Amino acid sequence: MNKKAQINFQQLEQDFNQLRAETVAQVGEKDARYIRRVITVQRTAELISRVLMLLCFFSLWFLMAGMLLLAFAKILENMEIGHNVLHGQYDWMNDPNINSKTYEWDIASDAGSWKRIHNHEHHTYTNIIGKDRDFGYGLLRMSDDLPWRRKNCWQFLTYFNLSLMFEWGVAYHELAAERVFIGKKKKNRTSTLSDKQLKKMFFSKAGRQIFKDYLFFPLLAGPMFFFVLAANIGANLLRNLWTSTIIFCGHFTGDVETFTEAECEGESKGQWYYRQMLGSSDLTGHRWFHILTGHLSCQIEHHLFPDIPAHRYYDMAPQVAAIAEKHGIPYNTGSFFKQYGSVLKRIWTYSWPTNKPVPLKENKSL
Amino acid sequence: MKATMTKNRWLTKALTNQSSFKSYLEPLAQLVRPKWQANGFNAVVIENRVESEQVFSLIIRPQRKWPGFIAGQHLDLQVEIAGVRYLRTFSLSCAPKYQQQTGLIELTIRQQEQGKVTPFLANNIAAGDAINISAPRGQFTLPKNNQPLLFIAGGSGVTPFRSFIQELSLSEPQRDVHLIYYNQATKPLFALEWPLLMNTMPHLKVTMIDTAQKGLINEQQLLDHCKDLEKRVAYLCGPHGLITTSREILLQLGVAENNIHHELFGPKPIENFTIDNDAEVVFASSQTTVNTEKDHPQTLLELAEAAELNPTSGCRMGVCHQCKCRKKQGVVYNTLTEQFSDTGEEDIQLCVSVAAGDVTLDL
Repeated sequence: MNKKAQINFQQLEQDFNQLRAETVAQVGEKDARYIRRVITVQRTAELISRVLMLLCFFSLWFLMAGMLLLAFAKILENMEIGHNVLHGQYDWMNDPNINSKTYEWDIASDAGSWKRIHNHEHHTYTNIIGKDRDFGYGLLRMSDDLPWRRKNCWQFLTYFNLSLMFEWGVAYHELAAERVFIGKKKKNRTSTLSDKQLKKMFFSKAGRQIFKDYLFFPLLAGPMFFFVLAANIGANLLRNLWTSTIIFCGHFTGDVETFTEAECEGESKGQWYYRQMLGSSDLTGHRWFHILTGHLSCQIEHHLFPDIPAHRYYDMAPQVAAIAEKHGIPYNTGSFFKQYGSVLKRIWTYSWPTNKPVPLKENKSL
Repeated sequence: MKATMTKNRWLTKALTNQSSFKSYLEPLAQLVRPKWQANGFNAVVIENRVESEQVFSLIIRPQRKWPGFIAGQHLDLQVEIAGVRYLRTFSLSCAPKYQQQTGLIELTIRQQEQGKVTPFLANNIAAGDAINISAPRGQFTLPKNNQPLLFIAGGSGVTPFRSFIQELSLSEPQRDVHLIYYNQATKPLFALEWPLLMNTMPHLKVTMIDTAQKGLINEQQLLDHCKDLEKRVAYLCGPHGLITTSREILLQLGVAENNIHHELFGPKPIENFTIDNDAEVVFASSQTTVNTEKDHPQTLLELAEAAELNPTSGCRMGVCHQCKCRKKQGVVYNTLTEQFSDTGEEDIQLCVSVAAGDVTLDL
């Protein structure tokens, strides 16, 4: 593995900028057609799933099929549509319905809140301990940068709960960071929104989602209320598990590195690219698998180029890997089972006090 | 009523996370009708007619619930080019009576040499194509009395006057109308139609002036052609220079200010506007800062686009409000109203705003 000092960051910056420019030049009609087609599939699946659930009068198999189809629709909506549209990947289309400013997704988290925390904080300060609140979400100890605490003993259980309740974790993320309900206010608070505004946005979006999935559609089913309610809960849980698992594979595999604020002060664009590469990991798989992950299976490419239409990452990946190899930078990729295994191992490892530094840390001298 | 509206909107949002059920269903509807849109009005092009080398007319059949228009109004036309939606504003060039009888409307459009949309419309839009249009808009309409009229047109600015005169020929053929139509070394538009209209309207006078031969508009020229202009209500349409000059002349000749109406084609030129210093424009959300040059003023929309921020945009002349953006602080100059903004937080239209100092935008 290369020492950071040996990397030609200027050249690295040029290489990535060039790849970016080449891809941006191709973006156009094909991308517009693609995202509209995905939206069409998602809406069709969602509508059919709602109907199937109501058909549970005839057979509970309809309920099962409806639940799976709704989970699929929600996954597609959250990952390939919502996440990517909210990143502004399709803003150039000038279509008011496919625009990061106006889009709202089918998840408990308010789109505006997510854009503030995720797009800005997580993507700018990726894996900088103390700056990127997505690193462990303030719940898990994922590196020895954080001191061990007793609660880390059962963080495997915490992780499992977080995965099941993932949409609520994302929804509550900003409020937790701003200590809206509990905890002492931080002195260096930068949020321009008051607690009252944050609370209002949280409850407004969460209320609408609960109304839709746990009241409106179950009520439509009349006597089958509880069956449809259960199917909706099931679909949301499946979606939560899937999104959480994919996202953990993107940032918490064994080899993913962390950074300190001091390291990243005044970093150049080339160094930023380098940090994005070390802070993310990819998954290999079929094309349909990539689409279901919203191309977060190409997390490295996404972190290098967050605003390029995500379906392009698939074709960019070999070129990014080539640039990584040229500069001697590790390119962290593997099958889902290999990567997820290493995530679980990492959660387990840091559940316990570590007194020896993790081997990778020695490469991080600036 | 209002309570139900809000409740409906809440329900739509809760169930679809979209602004309307129609928007939610738009992709599905497009499976059957590819260019159908939930917003605006859907329309079909019946003919793309060549008027001159650079000018063409689109004859369009709007969907039935399109609200109809008053002579002199304009609308926004939307097309998609390489996946990008563009919106442009055009005057309706036919009479409302024509639309009532045939269900058709006409837009007469000049191809902009460096433009993206008008050459596309001229070359790529043909009979049978689906497009999307807005409801008609605009205050450039005739008064509800029978005062004599003076129309001054420049180039393709003649389009609303065709609408006025066609409409008058059907509703008030006795109306006293004088059209002075300026062209620069190009053939006047609708050359075959004016004599026919003069046949039906005994008090219609059409004066064609080729500025290449007779020079730009001036006081003597106007007086020579129209002796009683101070008695008339004046309507001006064309490029910025023609409007400002003819307006000044008419005011000097004693035409009352509230008897002069004008419609500007294209954005106002911003070359005349200068600021004292180079300034800094901060796009806060995207953490981008660009510098403006005092000798080369650019609109905030142009600056944002140059910085690859993909701002939403529409007509690019201050009409459609699609590029509305929150200004956090700083003073901007509005080229449309020719006013400086307040220093505080407010919504501005990027396409007609120029930074008059350091500005921070929520973009």
